[in-house]
Amino acid sequence: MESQIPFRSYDEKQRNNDDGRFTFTSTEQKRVEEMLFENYENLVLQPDDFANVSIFRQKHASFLLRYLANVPKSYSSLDASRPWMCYWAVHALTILEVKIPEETINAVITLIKACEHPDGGYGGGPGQYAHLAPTYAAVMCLVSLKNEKALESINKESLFQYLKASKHPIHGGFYMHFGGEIDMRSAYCALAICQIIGLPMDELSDGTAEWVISCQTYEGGFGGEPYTEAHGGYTFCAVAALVLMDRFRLVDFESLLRWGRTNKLVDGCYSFWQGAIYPLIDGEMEREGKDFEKGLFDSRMLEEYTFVGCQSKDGGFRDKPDKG
Amino acid sequence: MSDEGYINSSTLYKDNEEWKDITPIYPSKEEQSAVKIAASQDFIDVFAYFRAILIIKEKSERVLKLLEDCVRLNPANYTVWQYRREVLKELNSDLNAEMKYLDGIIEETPKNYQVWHHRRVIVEWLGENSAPYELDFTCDIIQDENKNYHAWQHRQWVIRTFKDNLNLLDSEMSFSLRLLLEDPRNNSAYNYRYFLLTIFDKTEDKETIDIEINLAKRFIEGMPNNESAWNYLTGLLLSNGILSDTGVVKFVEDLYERTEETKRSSFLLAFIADIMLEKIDQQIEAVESAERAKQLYTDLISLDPVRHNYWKHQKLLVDQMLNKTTYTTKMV
Repeated sequence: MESQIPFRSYDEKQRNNDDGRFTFTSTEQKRVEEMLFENYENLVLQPDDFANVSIFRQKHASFLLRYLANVPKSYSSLDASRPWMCYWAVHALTILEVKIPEETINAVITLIKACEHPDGGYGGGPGQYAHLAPTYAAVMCLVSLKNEKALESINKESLFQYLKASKHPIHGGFYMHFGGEIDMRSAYCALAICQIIGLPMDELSDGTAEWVISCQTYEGGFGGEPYTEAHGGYTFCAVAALVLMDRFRLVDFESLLRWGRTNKLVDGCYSFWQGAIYPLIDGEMEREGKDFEKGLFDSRMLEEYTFVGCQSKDGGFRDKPDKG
Repeated sequence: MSDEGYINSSTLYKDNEEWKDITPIYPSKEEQSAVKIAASQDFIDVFAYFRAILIIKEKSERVLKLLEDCVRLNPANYTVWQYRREVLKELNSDLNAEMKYLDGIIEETPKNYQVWHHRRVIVEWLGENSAPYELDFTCDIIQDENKNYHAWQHRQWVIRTFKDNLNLLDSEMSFSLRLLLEDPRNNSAYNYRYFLLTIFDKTEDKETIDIEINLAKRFIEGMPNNESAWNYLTGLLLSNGILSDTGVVKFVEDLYERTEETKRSSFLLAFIADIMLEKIDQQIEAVESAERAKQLYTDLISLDPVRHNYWKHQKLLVDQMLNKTTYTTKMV
């Protein structure tokens, strides 16, 4: 048989240790571990499959291209997130180095334009109010298309007006939409849009770094607003926002490095939220000229989890084996 | 049967006499050019009427009903909820009835940003009299799902908003303690406790902090592999350092001694390593402390291989700290 890199994850010794006292949390943890070991053992029993554990590139590409055109009724809950649907697919196709057909690109540009609000920003669908999350998705998607027409379709003036109007008048946070909630997502979305479009960050970021840092918790991660529990998604948004403003030095770095979703279950989406923090830290350490070993997290082990626990044979990924 | 007795069996708005005055706006072909959702007839019908209403800004009882249909079909549509607030305000609607409606919706979709934000705004409008009910309601949701982020966040908001008018510290500490006794691994409950100590200005209150430290010790004693309790203990000692509490130092050293080498938890080793880092920092037996810290990190590399790069990084940190302190000493 071909020599293969042995898996280092799925190690029996690393199974959850509940100190002989089960609770709801440890029972859930064991249930998920059980499912994952089952998936893993099925692969081990079929050594051919095991040697070929890798990304199903073609399957994902077909899945994503199909998805960019049509999705079934079960996606109705994403009717207010359609720029997201475009961005997820376009971004993934870009990573897979799949050439997106011209007519698909045009269709995406057309749809996103239809989601643009007359007063600036983008809604989750045509006719909907502007919201920072779909605005982020729309802008990132159009930029990812690397296409003149896509970039031209962005109304930069009204977009900047919208970003400025989204800011809270007193503290440095941002409203997700007029009359909407304020949390870490909006700060990141607003700043990232500002940066990638080349709008003046200084006019937008007054007090924002201070607001962001007030959300770092005693555990080291960041919550969605001050005092809330440290959370993977918000921690990425916070770290990225601080890096964008060149204010990463405000972070309590030692506790951030140590933290990792205490007693929470594994979930595919945190592969991004948690994993994407590391390259940000690497870049920041380099910028500050600090002696720091890059790549502190074990990407190979994360890959093992993702292939065994999340990848679908028909293309696409799931959170964990029991999720659709 | 006569014609008068005929009842229209369609529930669609387009077949409803009472909505004849509204011209629905269906998605255009362009708007379906990408990520077209194969929505149901019901969905397409309801949202076409919603879109028309949003343009003419009609605010009426029938619109509130339409919005309830929208919510039934897609509770994540923030525009629907935002418009609903605009209508409720204009009509001066009964907000208690709105809360009742919202109870049901949240119970169905407890992990949805929009419903919880809507709730926050309505509670804001209702004022502090609604606070006790919010505590009961979030308690129910947390009972079903003990780490529901939105529910904890909402509860924190209620406490922050109404804390000056209500004496809540003791009862809220009991609430979180009850949850911790049910599941000492519930990280959300520890964070809530820490939040309470912070906003009620107790983080410098020695008596309170000592009680909390003892609680953390008890939980660690029972489950040394429970990271939440260790993090809580670290958090409680954040401002003064672990060395400031000789009782804690003795407790972890005892636990280390008492536990068989192969059974020591990674959190125990990491905590003692933290004590060593503090000692280096304060130049207390710096060289010996550095040696011990590095040994602990070596043990952690084999005990916790997932984070082996991190533990290696910590080892380097020990050297950096040691070099820095010896350098400073020479300078003095």
